Amino acid sequence: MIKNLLRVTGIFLVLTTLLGGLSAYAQNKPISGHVVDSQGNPVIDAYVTVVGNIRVSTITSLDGSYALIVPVGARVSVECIGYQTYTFTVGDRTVYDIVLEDDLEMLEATVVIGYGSQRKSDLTGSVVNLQLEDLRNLSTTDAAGALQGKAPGVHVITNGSPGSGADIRIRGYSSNGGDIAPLYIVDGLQVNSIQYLDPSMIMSIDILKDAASAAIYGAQAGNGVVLITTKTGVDGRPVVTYKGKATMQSFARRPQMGREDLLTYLGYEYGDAWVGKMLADYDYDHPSYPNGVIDQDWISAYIEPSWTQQHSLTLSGGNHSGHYYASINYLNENGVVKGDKDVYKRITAQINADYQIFRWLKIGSTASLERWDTKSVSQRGYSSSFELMLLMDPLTPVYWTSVSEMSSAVRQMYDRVMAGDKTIPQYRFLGDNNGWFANTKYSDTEGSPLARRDATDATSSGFNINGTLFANVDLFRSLTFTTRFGYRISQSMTHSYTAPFYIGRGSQDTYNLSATSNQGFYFQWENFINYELKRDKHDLTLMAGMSYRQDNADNMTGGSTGLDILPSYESQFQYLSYIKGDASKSLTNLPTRSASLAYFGRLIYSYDNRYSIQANFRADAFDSSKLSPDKRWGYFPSVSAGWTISNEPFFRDHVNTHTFNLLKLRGSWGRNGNISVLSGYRYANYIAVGNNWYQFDPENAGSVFSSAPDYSNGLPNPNLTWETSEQFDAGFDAGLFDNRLNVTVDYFNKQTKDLLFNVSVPIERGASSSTVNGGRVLNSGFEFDVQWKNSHRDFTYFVKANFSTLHNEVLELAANAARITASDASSTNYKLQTAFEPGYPVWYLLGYVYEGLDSEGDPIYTDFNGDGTISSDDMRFIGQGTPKFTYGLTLNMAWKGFDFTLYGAGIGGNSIVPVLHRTGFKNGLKVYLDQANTDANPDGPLPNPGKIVAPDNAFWSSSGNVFRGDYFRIKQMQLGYSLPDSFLRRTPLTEVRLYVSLDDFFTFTSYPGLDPETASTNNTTGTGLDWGSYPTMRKTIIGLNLTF
Amino acid sequence: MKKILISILIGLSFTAVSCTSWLDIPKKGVIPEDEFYSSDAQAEALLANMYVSLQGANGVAGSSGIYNPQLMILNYSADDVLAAGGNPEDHGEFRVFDEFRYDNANSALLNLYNGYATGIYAANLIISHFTTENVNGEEPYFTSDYTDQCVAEARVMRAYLHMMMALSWYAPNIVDRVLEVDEYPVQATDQSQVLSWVISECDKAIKSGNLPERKGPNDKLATARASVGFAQFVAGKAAVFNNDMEKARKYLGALIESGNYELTPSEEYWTNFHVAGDGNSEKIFEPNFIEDANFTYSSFALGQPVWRGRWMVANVLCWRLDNLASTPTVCEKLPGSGGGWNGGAIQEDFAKKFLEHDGDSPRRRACFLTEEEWLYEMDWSGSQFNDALLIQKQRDPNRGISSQSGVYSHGPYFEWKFMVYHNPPKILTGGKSYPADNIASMGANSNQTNFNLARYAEALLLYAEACIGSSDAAKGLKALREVQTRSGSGKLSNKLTIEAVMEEKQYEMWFECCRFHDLVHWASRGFVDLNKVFNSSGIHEHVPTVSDAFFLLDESGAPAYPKYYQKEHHLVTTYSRAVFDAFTIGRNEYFPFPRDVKAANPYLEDVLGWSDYGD
Repeated sequence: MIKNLLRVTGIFLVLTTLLGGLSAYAQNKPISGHVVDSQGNPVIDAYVTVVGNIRVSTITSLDGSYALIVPVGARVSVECIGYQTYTFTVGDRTVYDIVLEDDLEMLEATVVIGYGSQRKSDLTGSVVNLQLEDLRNLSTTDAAGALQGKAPGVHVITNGSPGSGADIRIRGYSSNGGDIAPLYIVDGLQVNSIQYLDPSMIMSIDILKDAASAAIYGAQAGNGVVLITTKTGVDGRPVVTYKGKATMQSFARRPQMGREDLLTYLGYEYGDAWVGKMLADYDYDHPSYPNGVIDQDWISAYIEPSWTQQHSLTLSGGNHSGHYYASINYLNENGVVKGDKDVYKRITAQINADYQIFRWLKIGSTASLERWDTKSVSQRGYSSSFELMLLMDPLTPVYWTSVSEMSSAVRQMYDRVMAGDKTIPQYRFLGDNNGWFANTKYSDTEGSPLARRDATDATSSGFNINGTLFANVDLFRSLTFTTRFGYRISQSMTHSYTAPFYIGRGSQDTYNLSATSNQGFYFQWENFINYELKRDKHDLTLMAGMSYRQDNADNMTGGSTGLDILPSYESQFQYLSYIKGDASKSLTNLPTRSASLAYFGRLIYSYDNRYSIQANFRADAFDSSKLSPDKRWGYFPSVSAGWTISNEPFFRDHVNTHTFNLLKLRGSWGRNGNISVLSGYRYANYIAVGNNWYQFDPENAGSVFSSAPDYSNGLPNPNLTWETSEQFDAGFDAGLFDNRLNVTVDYFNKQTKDLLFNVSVPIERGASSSTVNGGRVLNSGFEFDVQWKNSHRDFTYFVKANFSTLHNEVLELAANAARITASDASSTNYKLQTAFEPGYPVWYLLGYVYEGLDSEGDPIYTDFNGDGTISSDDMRFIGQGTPKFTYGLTLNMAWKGFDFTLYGAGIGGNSIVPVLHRTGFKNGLKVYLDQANTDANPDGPLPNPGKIVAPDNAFWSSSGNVFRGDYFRIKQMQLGYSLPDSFLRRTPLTEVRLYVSLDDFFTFTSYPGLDPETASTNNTTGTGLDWGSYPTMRKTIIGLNLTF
Repeated sequence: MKKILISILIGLSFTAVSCTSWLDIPKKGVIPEDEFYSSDAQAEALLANMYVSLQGANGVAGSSGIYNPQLMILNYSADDVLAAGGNPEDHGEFRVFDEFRYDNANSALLNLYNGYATGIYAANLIISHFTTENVNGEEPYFTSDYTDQCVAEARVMRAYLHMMMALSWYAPNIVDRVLEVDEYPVQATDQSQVLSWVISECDKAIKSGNLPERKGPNDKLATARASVGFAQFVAGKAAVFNNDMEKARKYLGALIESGNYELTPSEEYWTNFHVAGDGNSEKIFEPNFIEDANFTYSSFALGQPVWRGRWMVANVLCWRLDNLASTPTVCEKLPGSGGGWNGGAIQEDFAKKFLEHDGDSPRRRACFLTEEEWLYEMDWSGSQFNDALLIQKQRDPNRGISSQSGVYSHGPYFEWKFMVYHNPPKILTGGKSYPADNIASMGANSNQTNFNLARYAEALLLYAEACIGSSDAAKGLKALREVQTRSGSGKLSNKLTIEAVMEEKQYEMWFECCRFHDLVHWASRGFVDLNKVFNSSGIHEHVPTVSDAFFLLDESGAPAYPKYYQKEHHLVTTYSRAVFDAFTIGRNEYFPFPRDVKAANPYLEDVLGWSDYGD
């Protein structure tokens, strides 16, 4: 791939050199200078072009500087969104420093607000607007990851596994349901995930945090809205950009015990005599280890540094009648699990274009074509490969190199297979060139993680085409009608093949072959009218529209399982087409459809740039799978207002407006919904047919299908409706020292009611739960965003910090529900639960309160009910998995050609409970030994391991096992160097930037497990429980950006 | 321009109006409830649902998670079975019943409760929709002879499940119809109220004449559904536990006199617990496990075999194979699917008593093996000497317990009554051919044996108890002697006494979910001192670990028993202190209502010693 890209890049170089050469015959001279705004701040990304010859152009760099070779006497224009265009004629001078005046009219900075845009200065809600400069030079491959630490009130949780996108939480956790992701809208198209978008394709990201801003999206906006605008071409010559980078991922944390530590630990647990007996049974000298003593670090056995490469090539440009932007992006990410079993490959092409056909008609299209391939390993669950990596004892070698090393069960089976015994399945004994993958003999762990990794060959791949077609019709002056058709077409395939293999426990007897095809077609059709009226100091915008959305999915899964299913088992036969006629087969198909309809409107009015108000209204209806037809409509209003005090005469008269140039107060109220929790016709009574069967005759085959009320989603409830959030927001924006210092502060108070609860109902009714609406959850907090930018001669810098607090509390539950609990850790035998209960944060950790050790060294727990025993009634709040505050810090510096970026993100106030303690010879966190109360460490605060052997011992579910989940991670530390203009002048290149970056390299945390960030990813009810997720890797990146 | 405007506006309004109907999307794969309960076929599907509910995820006769809750809880609570595990804390959810350490948060207990309650609901679906026994006394849409039969079967199943709940929780809810969506069930005042109702329900079903009746001991059809015999059994058992011996004699006597049931021959006693005996002459009722490949591999499971019911019970009830020198052929496939977890160990003192009583009877050998039998009569898949001389077997390193740490929670007797038989063992088959318990293609840890809920031997012994001191004593003695004769122990009672019945029942019904309920019942009648059985006997205090001197080394690495080391197998049992709570009289006779059940039903009150426990 690199070779191909180099070749392509080479062709571009040659072409552009030729073009550049042609213009060199004219009489040219170099000019340069700085472009600054009225406050003297550098203007970045301003276009400097020769009027009439857009090929001669450049963009100002981070310090606002530019350099260009222009024909003598040429007129040069300097343009930038938000500023008035400045034009000058090149005379004798070679240095032209330019001051751009703010464009207070149409070109003032705008913010995308859904079905339109709004001047930033008119904003009355809480909207975070991330522009190019915020997204520049990010090395994350995931658009959601790009938001981490960048905006107050936005918590991004990443997962280290290749191809798994980040989760975004805006202003807390408002629901007890699993789906609390924001609504994602890309160029007007609703999407389920923004993982397909490479951050380099994004022009801006707007996050609608408050309910008033998000209300235009109604029943789907209860968790906030993320609006993404992809790049578009700008007027001027074609710009070609190449960006490439190579990333090395590695992992350094080793929280588990080594041999000596584990033996010491087990000695405390079970006595040295038993440990000695186990060693006598199974330990042996192994030539691969120093002095023959097996001491295997299983993280090293399973994980190795790996490389990821990414390239993108972009072509963009345009003129007064049309613009184009075309980009192709290639990513090949190989995860850190040894071998090529965790891989994410993605090729994305983005094509955006618009054309002004008539003065009154503009049409356009955005389209994204994505091809992806993934292979993944299991994580975060019972018997997952990551769990096995963490549980495997260090006394087991990675490889058995001789039959005599095998456990007796494996050896017996191996001997039988080798002897040609046809009465047993033809097992494989998994391994590689170094030997067979050893399984522990000390416990019943289900195989080596390497064997788990290799047991099944599974691949997933697919295409996604996401796009929009739109037409803007200027009906009258100031009245624009937009019709927009958005679509998502997806197709994916998974293939899985497993042949019988033998590893002792966890073996498989049968062949298993399956393939699944999924296809989806989603479309939305939206029509809306925008009307703008400007009269003197009055500014009025009205918008009204409708939207219809329909999502269609279809799938086909086929499979076969059995002792003999194929005529031959070589790789070329491992397809469904070759399944033998008499092998058992399965085939499933179930097309689904969902749909919704909405009407919406908006009014924005501002007077004299001092007062602005906004009102939104949306009516939403959803299909009958979610709500009964008589309850399908919901109504979502909002209002907001702003007062720009700094534009008041009294302010200007009394305050030095250079020192204090902006002060604006904002307030908003709105109502949103959350529909994603509703599905599956939960309101209606149906009879499920054929879900099970019974054979009445013990002797003769021939079963009868069963029927019964369909309570798969619990007892039906005809009164169900969506969750509704009402949010109040108040804030101010301040600009000081000629806007060098910008401060934004917000307070929000969001109450969500009508949550969907699975309340327990007496199982005698036929199901043990039912879904009801009820309860209220509060999320409130302060958000601070402070930016400081300044420059001193060649040195410019930019510091941005944000901090947000989150008070999350369940205020009440549905009727008859005292507390709702979930037992994500139940399969581990931990008594710990997470609970949803008034007076506490959502899904807090419910466990025993550990008070320390008594004089005998026995753990003491608070006996709340005073009955003398510690039972489930003594479980209380012991921590929350969700953070109480989040923060981010960004520092950009530039000096001459050098630029440096440091940015980090952190959370605090949250707790994590590792749930990977097991009985027997299984590894665990070293902290449990280091802090144990033992003869070697008489002051150890944790119980002696011998007192807390089983996972269901109260300690493991107590506050004694709660660790602080706070962390601050330096997400990126990047140093770049851009070649000077004096050098580039002789080349067709306008920018060459080289950089090195250390991403996720430094983490500050006291958490003793693998990774505090990923510990509870992909889980709402189990937040705070660490099962051993794929951790975030350290990344070392080198990259190159070229612009022609 | 205007044309464009108009056409767009029309288009817009058209869209707006037409879309609403697109929001009506019917649900697939279901029938609206108001179109149901109107045919024989639908009644049969509901009946199938009722029997399946006994086997499903929470079914009484199924496995919930990795355990079968009824089998485990009721047996571990008794005095003759030890819980599973490789160490003192392994399989804690069940060991706590052995050691009376459970509380109302125990998940297995919840599964047991839910299993009974789900079955009762499934029965009520039939009763409430095909009779007037519903909330408003409404007439059903549809009835027929067939729905009458379904109702009768459902009535008996419902009675059985209520009886089991009453024996376990003393005063459970009585749920006699489908509840309204917001209705709470009504709790019984005491056990006797439930048992009396159970008897009357069975009586109603029998008298209706609609129950299927077994047509002789060879008729297997009537064993997989509630029959007249099962109704008589449930009514009789409920009456015995309700101390209403006259009624007990009536129903159980009728069952015996029907001639439809017979004990199997002595040599085939073992088949009662394996596929070979599914539906045999002795079975009164056992939900039938699927062996229908067309359904087993149906599309529900996406090509995976559906392991119903006995999943992982195979693991739990097998010996701890990873401690053994090689795998016994009887369960040779298990190492590949989790091995054995040692969950049904026979309590050592009881095993000695059993051995003393029964000697080498077929019954005893079907229940457990002695050291000699286990080491040398049984075949070991790693051994070349299965058909060789004893002396060769004695020196064979591929049999016995090779692990230095021994087999935890296990003494020198080796139970196998409920183990999965991949190869039915010669010790029991005498070389005759019998089907295996495991369908080859369904994973080594599946066990397709039907889970027996009512066996004729229990009916005979219940009858014997009911006859003590009555005019039917002679008939009771005959019933007792029938069981004794079949056992092959050679012991025959000449007089019908409660002691004789209690003794015989402990052997005959060992590990069959009877013993704990029996002990509590007999204690209530003054025949048993529970304090003596559970507390002063010391059965809880020590946990055995059995090792093999053939392999044992001392701490210095030298042979621990030079006489036996590498020369002859010889089992050595050591004991470690157990973690246990005393059996509290007045509380531990019954279980607490599970925490989640109480959370869902504020009206449900714990009874007896649990009512003030944990407050």
